[in-house]
Amino acid sequence: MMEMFQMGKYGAYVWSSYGLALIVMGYVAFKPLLDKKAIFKELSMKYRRESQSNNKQEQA
Amino acid sequence: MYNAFFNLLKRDLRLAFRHKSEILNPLFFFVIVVTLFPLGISPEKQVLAEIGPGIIWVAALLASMLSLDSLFRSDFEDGTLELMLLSEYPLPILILAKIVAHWLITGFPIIIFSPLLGTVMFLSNEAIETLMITLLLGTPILSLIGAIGMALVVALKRGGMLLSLLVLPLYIPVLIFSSNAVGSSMAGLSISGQLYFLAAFLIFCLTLAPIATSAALRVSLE
Amino acid sequence: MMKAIMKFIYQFASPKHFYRLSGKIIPWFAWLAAILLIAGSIDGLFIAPVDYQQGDSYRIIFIHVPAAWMSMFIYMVMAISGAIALIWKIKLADVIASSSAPIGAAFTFLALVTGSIWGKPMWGAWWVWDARLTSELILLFLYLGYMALESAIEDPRAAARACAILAIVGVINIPIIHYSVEWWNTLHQGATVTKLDKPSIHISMLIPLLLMALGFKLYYGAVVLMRARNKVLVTEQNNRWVKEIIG
Repeated sequence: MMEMFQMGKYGAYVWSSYGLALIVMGYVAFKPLLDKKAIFKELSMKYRRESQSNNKQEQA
Repeated sequence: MYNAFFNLLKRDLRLAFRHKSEILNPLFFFVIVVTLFPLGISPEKQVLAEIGPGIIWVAALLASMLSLDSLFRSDFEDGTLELMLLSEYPLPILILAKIVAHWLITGFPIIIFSPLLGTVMFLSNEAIETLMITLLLGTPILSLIGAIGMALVVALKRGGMLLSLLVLPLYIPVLIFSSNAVGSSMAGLSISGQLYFLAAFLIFCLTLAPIATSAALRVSLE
Repeated sequence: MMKAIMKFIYQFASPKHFYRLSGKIIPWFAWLAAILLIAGSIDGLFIAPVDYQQGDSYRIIFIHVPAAWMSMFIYMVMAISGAIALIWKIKLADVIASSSAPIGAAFTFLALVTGSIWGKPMWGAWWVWDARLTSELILLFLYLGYMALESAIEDPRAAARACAILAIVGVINIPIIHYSVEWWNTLHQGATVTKLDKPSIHISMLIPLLLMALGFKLYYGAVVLMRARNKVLVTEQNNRWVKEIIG
């Protein structure tokens, strides 16, 4: 079993390539998810502020 | 239309001759950069003859790129460019006139001075001849491609560094074929293939670059 | 017929429809990509036979080659959607182009680094001026220039149009650059033989390669749509439908 992971004498090269691919592609894929959360938060705060100021205007 | 082309060409040349630094500075730059290499590497004849073609071409490339700023900058600032966009003549023709003028001001002096630098770098006579031919075919390409990049960044305050990022990768084919042609003629090999490539690339850029440049200018001046 | 197609395109390209439809598409792309990439990696790492010349090190091509393909493909997508945006004034095409750039740059970077990791055992050096690696490096410069131009222009609409022009100029130049680099490489190759080029590929090696290539494409599809959705939300933030979604 271990032999399979050692890749002959090239284990370090092969695994670092696949690992790097995982890191880079993982980051690129999860970044937009985080961005989306931030955008939702920011926009919902903005809308709340707007509706509050609208209410105040109506009361006045 | 021909009148518009030649009038603009004459105007740009006249303006350039009034500010002589516009002609002289790229030339000085070209000479200084080439001079640095023997000082930095070695004054030995063999070494310099080996790297000479590449160095002279890289220096020409940088000189041409750094001089691009004068292509549109002053016309952008005083509003002439905006008038050109509104004029009745087709914009690519007017832009071609400006590029030709720019090449005559910055590219042509480099060609005139290149034999001197070739001698300093111990190139053979045939190689110097080839150097001049490649510069004659290659520097117009640099001006044409550079015009596209300059048109994209003309409205930006600090466009200089950005311009080099945009334009230098596109200069690579010219560099490869030109410096190789000079090196090959040093070695006594045939160079017709390289020259045909440069000529074809020049015609290609001559037809398409003015169109791309005018599209880019319209975006920049919006 | 043509009219119906254009109507469909414009309808799909309206931000609201795009947001809804892409929301349905993304999970499909993402899951399919995950399955294909996992299957391709397992196949490539463990099942495909050892190459008799390069040993196990050749298994890096299952990352390197698809990443290099993607780097070219994404630049083409950017140029084509840039052209669509310039000609038909479809804003969504601009969004797709600018959302693609960082993904393409990431794939280019990946192709470069895996190529260099592969080169170390093959050539004994981390970097060799091999034709493919050199072209990939120049392509990375083109991506970086594109992204630098985009961030330098403040008005997003002007930035998108300038970038579209740059991408079209770049895409016309890529074959010329590629050809000249290949030509330059054959002249200077000397003793180093390009081992990165197809080691007469066997069918059992082709299957994981194709799995990975398809997986990368779907991955790109999912990520570019996610990025585009975020951009649409921000630019359309004053419209009713966005307010309804966010609530």
